[in-house]
Amino acid sequence: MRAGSVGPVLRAAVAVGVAVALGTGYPAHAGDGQVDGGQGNAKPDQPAPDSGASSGKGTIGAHIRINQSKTGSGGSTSTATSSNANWKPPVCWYEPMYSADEYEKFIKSAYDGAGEPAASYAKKRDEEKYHKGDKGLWWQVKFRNDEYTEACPVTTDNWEIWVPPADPQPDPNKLTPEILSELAYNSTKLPTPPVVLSPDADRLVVNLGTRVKFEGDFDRVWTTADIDYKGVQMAATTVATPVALKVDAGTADADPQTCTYDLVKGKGGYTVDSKDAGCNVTYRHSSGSGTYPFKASITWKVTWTDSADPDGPARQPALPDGLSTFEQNVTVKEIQAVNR
Amino acid sequence: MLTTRRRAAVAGLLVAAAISVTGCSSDSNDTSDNIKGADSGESGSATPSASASAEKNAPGFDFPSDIKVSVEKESTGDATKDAILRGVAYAAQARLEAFGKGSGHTVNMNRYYAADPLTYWVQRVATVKKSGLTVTGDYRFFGFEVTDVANGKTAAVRYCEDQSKGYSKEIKTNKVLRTKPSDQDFIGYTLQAAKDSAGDWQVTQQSWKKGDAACVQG
Repeated sequence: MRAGSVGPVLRAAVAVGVAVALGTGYPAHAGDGQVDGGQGNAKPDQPAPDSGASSGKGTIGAHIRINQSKTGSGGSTSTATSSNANWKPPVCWYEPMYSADEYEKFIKSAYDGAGEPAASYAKKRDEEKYHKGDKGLWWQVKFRNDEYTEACPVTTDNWEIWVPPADPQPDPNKLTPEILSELAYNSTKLPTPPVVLSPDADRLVVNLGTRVKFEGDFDRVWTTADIDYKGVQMAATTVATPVALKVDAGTADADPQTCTYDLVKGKGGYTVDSKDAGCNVTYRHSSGSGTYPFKASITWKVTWTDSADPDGPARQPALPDGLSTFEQNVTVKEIQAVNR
Repeated sequence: MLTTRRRAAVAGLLVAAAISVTGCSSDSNDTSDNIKGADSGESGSATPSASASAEKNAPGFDFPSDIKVSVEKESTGDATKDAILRGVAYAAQARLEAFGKGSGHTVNMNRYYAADPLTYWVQRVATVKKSGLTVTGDYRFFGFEVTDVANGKTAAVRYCEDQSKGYSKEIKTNKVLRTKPSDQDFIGYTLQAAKDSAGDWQVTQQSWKKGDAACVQG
């Protein structure tokens, strides 16, 4: 008893020492310690943060890998913007996770001591004997976005579904190549190469057509999303091919304000030269002491195929066109006589 | 100004609560639950029961006497969204109650959490208790918003927690570990909620961000 009573006293002394050393009397962290870390996710085993989908390479869900082809040596990229504002990537899906034996272990540990209604879910699976002895896997719901900002249509009745090898009635939320194609599309980074203007961007001239030259050091961009887990292999590859360059003066004080040029595939990549084109953006007023935001957007035709081979046959349903935009500020001056 | 506006909203809710309690006086169970819930709230603040008008089977919360809770939640004008937010507000309190009791195996945790978050918080409550700590102080939940609903059975929700007056407390010594106020006291939660077979909206996936700009208040 005596030895036992020493412990708390010693610990209290240590605590005081720490507070003095800090000099504040406050613990270093804010709040009350309910929530661990600055940012997190209420998952029993938190996986180490990965590079995610935003880098064009990484993982999504539990075991979906994203891989993108090189986007050329030329500088910056941006996440593909869909030309269709209504297009949305999948919120969630079922992914292969557990064998029958593993699932039994998972349920018995995750639902250990659970009350209702969770206990009923565990009981339901126990009554199904976890499909032990059957061929197949338990697939579990996974989310694309760990901030859960959109509603997933999967309900509390089925966090996991049993999927036999030949699935006679596939669940509509079960992972498919189509879902993978949408994840690949959503992860695609497209190059945003600079266009060269003449006259130079800092001395464009009123009433003189702005010549646009563009030599893109890039090719089509393909992105593969694939899964190879516990015998389930599935892949989809999206292929984005640049088709057109649209330029926008960035002000209504221009006529024409926008022009669209077809991209020509040359040896080193895609090119445009508007020298002899019928349309050249022409400013009608000086930018004064300011600038105009001149935009150059590349439209990408996107197709997908249900394998890791970018040259595989195109599948349906089609994906919307992608857009990547390069913006630069331009200065426009009034000049009386133009002799160039 | 903010504070004034908030008080006004709270006052409105209290009026609604008074009416609703009178309205369902025929069911003695509901009424007692409502009153029990109201007791857990800070005086003059809205409580979950106050904002949930004439709700059947409202949960009762059993907070330690040194914990005060206020929930700032207004009607959205949409019955489904109101039901979702009611469930999520109960979930927020269920978790605080679990930390206060030092056990995640409570009726309210089971009722308002499922799957990963249930497992996670049960473990987290046990971890905090094992380290000799519990919680104390004033807690405020606000900024409830349904950001998306799918097929009327699942939803995406966000809300904020103000822990600026909530602290860890050593269980053995009752010493309160006061913290220096900072933006980190404001936590933004984003989550999935789903309606279970009993008709309750449960938290089924959840993440958080301390110092979330949408939640930080002066």
